[in-house]
Amino acid sequence: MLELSRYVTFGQYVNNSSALARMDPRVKLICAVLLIGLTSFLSSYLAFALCLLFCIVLHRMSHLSLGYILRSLRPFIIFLFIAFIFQVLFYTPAKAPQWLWHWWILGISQAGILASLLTIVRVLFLYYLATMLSFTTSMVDLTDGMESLGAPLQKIGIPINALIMVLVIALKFVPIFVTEVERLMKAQTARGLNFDQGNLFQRVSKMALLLIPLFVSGFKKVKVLNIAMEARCYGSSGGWHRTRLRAFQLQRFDVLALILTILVSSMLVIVNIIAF
Amino acid sequence: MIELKNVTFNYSTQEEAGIPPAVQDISLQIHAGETVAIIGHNGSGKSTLTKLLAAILVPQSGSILVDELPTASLGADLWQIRQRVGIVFQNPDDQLIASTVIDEVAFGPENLGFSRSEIAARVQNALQVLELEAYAQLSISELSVSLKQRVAIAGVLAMQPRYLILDEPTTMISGKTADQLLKTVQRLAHEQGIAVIHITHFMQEIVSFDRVIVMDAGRILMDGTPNEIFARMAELQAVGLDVPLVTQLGHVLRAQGWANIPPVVLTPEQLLPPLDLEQSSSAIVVDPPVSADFLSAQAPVHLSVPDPSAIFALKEASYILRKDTPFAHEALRRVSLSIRAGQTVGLVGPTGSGKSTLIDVLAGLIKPSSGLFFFEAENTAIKGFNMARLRSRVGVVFQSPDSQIFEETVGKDVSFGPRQRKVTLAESRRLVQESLEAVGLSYEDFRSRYTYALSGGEKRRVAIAGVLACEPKVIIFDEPMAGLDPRGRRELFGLIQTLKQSEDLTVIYASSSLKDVIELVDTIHILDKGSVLFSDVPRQILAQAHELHALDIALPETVQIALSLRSRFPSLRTDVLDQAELEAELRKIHDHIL
Repeated sequence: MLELSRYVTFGQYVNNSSALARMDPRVKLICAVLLIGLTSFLSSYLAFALCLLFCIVLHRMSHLSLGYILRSLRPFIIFLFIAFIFQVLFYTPAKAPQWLWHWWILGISQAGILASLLTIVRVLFLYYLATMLSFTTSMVDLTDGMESLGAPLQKIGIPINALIMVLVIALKFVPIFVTEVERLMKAQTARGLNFDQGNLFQRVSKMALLLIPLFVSGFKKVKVLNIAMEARCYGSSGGWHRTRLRAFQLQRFDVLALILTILVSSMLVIVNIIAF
Repeated sequence: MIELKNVTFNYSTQEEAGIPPAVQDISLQIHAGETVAIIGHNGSGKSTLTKLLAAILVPQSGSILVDELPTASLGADLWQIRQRVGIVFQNPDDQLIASTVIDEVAFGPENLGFSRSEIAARVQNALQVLELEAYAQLSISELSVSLKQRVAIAGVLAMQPRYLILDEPTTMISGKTADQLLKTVQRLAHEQGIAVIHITHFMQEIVSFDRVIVMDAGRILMDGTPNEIFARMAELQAVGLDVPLVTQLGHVLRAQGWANIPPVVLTPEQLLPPLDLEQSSSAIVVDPPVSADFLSAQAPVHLSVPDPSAIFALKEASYILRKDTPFAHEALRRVSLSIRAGQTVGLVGPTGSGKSTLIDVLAGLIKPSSGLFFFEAENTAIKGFNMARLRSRVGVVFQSPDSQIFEETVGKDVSFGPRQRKVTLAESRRLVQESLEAVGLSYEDFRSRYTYALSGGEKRRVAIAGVLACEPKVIIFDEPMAGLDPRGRRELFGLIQTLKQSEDLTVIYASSSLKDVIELVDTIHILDKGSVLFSDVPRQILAQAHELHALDIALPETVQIALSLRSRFPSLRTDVLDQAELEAELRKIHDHIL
């Protein structure tokens, strides 16, 4: 009932030592960026069907339960649905429209439904790939990978390391805030507030009650963390010249995965072009 | 050496409000390898002093030199000081940065820009000293609080500091683990010459320290060996502190003419003279020791069988935290127990034993994953059961008052419950007034005060008032004493005792320590790893003190004393409920020896 940590799966890493979890984070990041870019480019159902096949292979390698990954999607389904309806209704076909239903500027056409479905499919793939990356990559790996890939930017004076530290801390606070919200909700429920009741407006106004104590405790925590980091010399020696304990080593699997991803991506691009 | 000369510090907001400085005109020296304990009530300036030592704050007047380097310096010198002075805070969650143990420990050396091999060597060494090697690759969020605290210390140690400051590190851990932690830091001082500066509210923790500093109102009140400090019992009590129970006991017994006791007793062993070899151990058997047979005959207590007429009854109730995720964890395992109306019950178990989950179930905040939960003989799982009614009858005072005070002013916060019930304004006002007065806060004085400006003890009272204003039949306290100084603990104890007097209120008190619980409740349920191990009256529970200690449950000081003397006097009973009983026990043995 009042157990948020069960539903908020954002940014959670599942350490199940699967092939995906063990992959070099730099390679994983490159692959993920490639695939995410690909899904935003693809525009034919055939290409997406092939993409689905690839994702099934990916999923088998991750040893994760599909239900768990999809659960965190649940709160967004209503938004996706609304977005879909709107897109269909406001879709203006390029050529002479074949309306199934039409009124004023609103209308339903076959082309509209197809195009809107494609958008939903694209969002789902995007969501799946991003979640997969976060579930199979620990935060340390993720940020180390980014730092390593971003090293050239650091050289030309963009403080990529500092930016990544900001990301690390922001992500670190996600589970802490979830626990905090859960705690506050429990305390309020115990004193007679019912979160499950009322209309949408009432529910939102109840959530607003959580905000102030959450900000107060959040600022306190950030302050302590800031002191703790400075006490351990974060930001010393003038710039941000941190050295790292970890070193990456490319394995054969990583190279194979990278080649495979590039191959699949180019193949899908070709399929997509031919299909049009 | 750290040297403070006439140091004064005031927070700017307090200065404007005309509040005297947090630290006033302090001069002192801390030498390498010394173990120093700092005690003082909440708000006496201890934490400010430690932040000054660690160069997090800079004094407004006076100077602080760390190995000749002034903390007011900038640049390289400042980082040099921060490297030499390591600091560990109360709550490990607030200070751990990385996500795995090994990365956390490496964070400091990485900031200092060492080579990879140097970082690896330092990390390895720090992990080894704190016995964390087996946990190196684990994710920090999976660790228990006490392990997190050890990781925090390892992280500081990897900086190879000369001074290690611990700001109330044992607030969130208890029993055996707290003892072990303190032993480890003392070993660091003796073996590696690191000065340890330990802030605490627990007097018996510091009897083995080299030096104790007592602070009051931003000044140093006393500075000396534990022996010297604890000799001044009356003065300590005047500033809201205390002496260890063993010292108090020694004081009383000495006044009764026991000649062999030193003027200041610091360890239980000093209470009774060592045995002469001629006296055979059989000679001193006073009472037959509580036999195992006797215990097992008492063991199958009927309390554990759920009684459906009770206010709460659990039957084989289990709860799985984060069910259907890879992180699923069974927090409650087939728990059966019943609590009758008007009882005062203790739920005692180490951290992670399922106490908080059990409280959530009892308060109707979560439903058991399997098994049955009856409230006033009604099955809560049936359709149409009114959960809101259960919640309105059961009040919970959660562990941290900060997460249950959500309004701006005290009056508004206390009236939160009544407002949800939509009572009349006059009624709400009456409830707020009664509840505030019940917790000993004046209505006129406190109702318009800002909640964020309250002290720790006041916050806890306001939180309790907020629960009382809902007019509950049951009130549950989850670890209410955490973080309070001796005076705050005494006051809260008195308050709970008064609440207990009111006839139809059922009080449930959850804690990882048997201290306080033992004197308050009439039944104790001992929990471990999500199951109820045994349930009994306090005296019977204490007879098994040894097992409880092994479970990492903190024992009352009286029992600790009895337990440590027992190796020499096997006849000594450990089921002593209070100081008077322990005195009587000791007297029996004393009379026999002499």
